[in-house]
Amino acid sequence: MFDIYKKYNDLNDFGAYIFGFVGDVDKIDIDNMITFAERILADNLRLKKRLINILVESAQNLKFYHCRACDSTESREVFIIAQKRTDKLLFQAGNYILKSDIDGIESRIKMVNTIPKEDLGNLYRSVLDYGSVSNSGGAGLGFIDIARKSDSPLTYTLDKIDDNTYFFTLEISINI
Amino acid sequence: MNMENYSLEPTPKTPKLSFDFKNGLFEISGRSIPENSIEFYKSLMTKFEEYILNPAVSTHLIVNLEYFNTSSSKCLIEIFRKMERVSSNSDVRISWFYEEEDEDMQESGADFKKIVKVPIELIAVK
Repeated sequence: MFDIYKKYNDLNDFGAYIFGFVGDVDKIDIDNMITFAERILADNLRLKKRLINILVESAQNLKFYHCRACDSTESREVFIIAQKRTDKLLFQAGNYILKSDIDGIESRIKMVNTIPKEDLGNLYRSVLDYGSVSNSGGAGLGFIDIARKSDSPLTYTLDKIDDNTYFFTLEISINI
Repeated sequence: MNMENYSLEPTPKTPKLSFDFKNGLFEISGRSIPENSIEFYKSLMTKFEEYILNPAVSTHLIVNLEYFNTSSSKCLIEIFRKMERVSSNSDVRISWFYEEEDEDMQESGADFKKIVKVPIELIAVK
């Protein structure tokens, strides 16, 4: 049986802790995490800004998809972890998602992973210029922006909860 | 030009908005990371439409953001589009400030510069 706390602890075991949260989706305190990141990465503005941008964008993605799954799962728990390893910062975000959302997420990730880094800028500008904003406030730019700021392809895992629900974990890394 | 100014104080998630419509001096600064950016910028957008009808001789928008999310970027592009419309009756410029080492914020400014049809000056701050 899937245990979010076990998953959080397993993932949070390899590097130096920058910030981490596991618990109710409504209790995510972005401001607090930004404060931690600013303190720990104070000597490296590029890393600090990049991590905080990824945190903000991922947390909003996470909330959006988690809330869509809220009716089919009683669990309101999600996690966010940032840790520093010898050569990179690793950011992980985990949330429940509807099985029906998986195809859309997978195709977005596959798309941004396939496009060469230099062309992601063109795609970003094109969506910024012509794309519309959805009712949820999302601009369709989230994964493109995250991919532009990540130094490796975005990776993810899916843990099956039941026929309708999965647990989605996104992993993003930034070179130090 | 009797429009009232539009100002909002900054919060940890939303920027300072200072729009002096009488003198055409506008500023967006701080963090723009609200979950619903459209809602946050809605009143400003309405006021801005009014300004377009009767702008000041010159209009200068200063953008000095620490962080912004992608939904805010759609609102920023909308504000820049309004600046384009203002430019037919006003001398328009946009100044995009970024910290010198912040290459992502510099790149964001360059992204807007490539899209928007009014001058955007990228200004590094030490």
